[in-house]
Amino acid sequence: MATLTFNSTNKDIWLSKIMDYKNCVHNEDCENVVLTFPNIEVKDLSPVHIVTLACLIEHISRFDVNIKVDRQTAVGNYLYLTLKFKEYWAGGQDHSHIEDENILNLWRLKEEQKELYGDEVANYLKSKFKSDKDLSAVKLSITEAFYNVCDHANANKNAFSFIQFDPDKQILQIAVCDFGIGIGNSVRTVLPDASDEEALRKAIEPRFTVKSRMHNSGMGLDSIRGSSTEDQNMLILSNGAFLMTKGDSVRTKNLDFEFRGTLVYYKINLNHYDAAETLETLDFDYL
Amino acid sequence: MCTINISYILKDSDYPTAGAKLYDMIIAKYDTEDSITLDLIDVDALPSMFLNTSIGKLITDKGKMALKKIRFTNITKSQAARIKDYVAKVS
Repeated sequence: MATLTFNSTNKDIWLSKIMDYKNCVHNEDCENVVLTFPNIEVKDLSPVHIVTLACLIEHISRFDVNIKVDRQTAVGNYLYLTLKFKEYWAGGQDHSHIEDENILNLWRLKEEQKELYGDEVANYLKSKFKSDKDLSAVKLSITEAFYNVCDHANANKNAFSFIQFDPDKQILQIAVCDFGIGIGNSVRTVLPDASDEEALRKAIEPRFTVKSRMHNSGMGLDSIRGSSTEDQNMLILSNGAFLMTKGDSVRTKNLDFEFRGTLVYYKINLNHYDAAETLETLDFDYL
Repeated sequence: MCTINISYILKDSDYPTAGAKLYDMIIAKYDTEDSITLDLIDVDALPSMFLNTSIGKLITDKGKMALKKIRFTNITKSQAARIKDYVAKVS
């Protein structure tokens, strides 16, 4: 039996462990795995922790391993009871509705459901915020993120998203993670010499595309970046590098470990969105 | 002048397919109509894969001046900003 211990919510440590454990289970050929979370609290979990853990569990589950969550820990109990993790792996669910109205629970990304999820997000926002705010940018960004995974990641259906709302700050946190080939490897199909850092910078350039499919034109990550409000970060972690944008600034760095897949995490401050306003027409006489 | 209902096109199609359908409808009317109105009533998001296979392809095939025949109606302020931004970036 292997015990996978997560005892820090520090994102660098957490993500590094996710990758260590991904390798460990692959190599050890064990039959039982227990996930335990000593000394960490539920309030310190973010969508990043949830989606990466979901991808790890999905990865492990494909080796016919019996997976248990240690419910003696608060986080283990939360994953089991509140987020209903069991329904995804023992019950075969792609999405499980939960009572907490500030969470749009894990969603397993599947090619045939990429449109459906955008609609689900729009319905969630409509039911939660009975305001006249124009929140179409949120649906837009999540749809772009889903298409990015389906078009480029080659993730073999190991991809999840999770959305959490902070009602005090009016901030939506959105995380999408896949255990696919990673942006670096995808970009190197057209720019073979690009480093992981350079690849991430290229990936967010408008019109840069690896043209995985005919409808790609390199505007997807730009659209997500555009929906992340100016006061909030968009983070992308993939292969050996990390990229962060805030407003017009872009920062990259190399990671101390390789993240085999892609994690996109961004926040949207709903205070920045105005009421929906319909214009009479838009024409292109200005061209 | 003719009007194309985008909401109808998006119904039952994924975004790239819907965009391709719109492109075909625009091209079918392009030489015979003075202007083509795209009605965005009941449409919320305009993802890039829809714009790429419709407006983007029109710009690629006929040049951005081809857009002068196009006008959007029932468009929200955020949709207008998005389309303008998209046209600026792909042109």
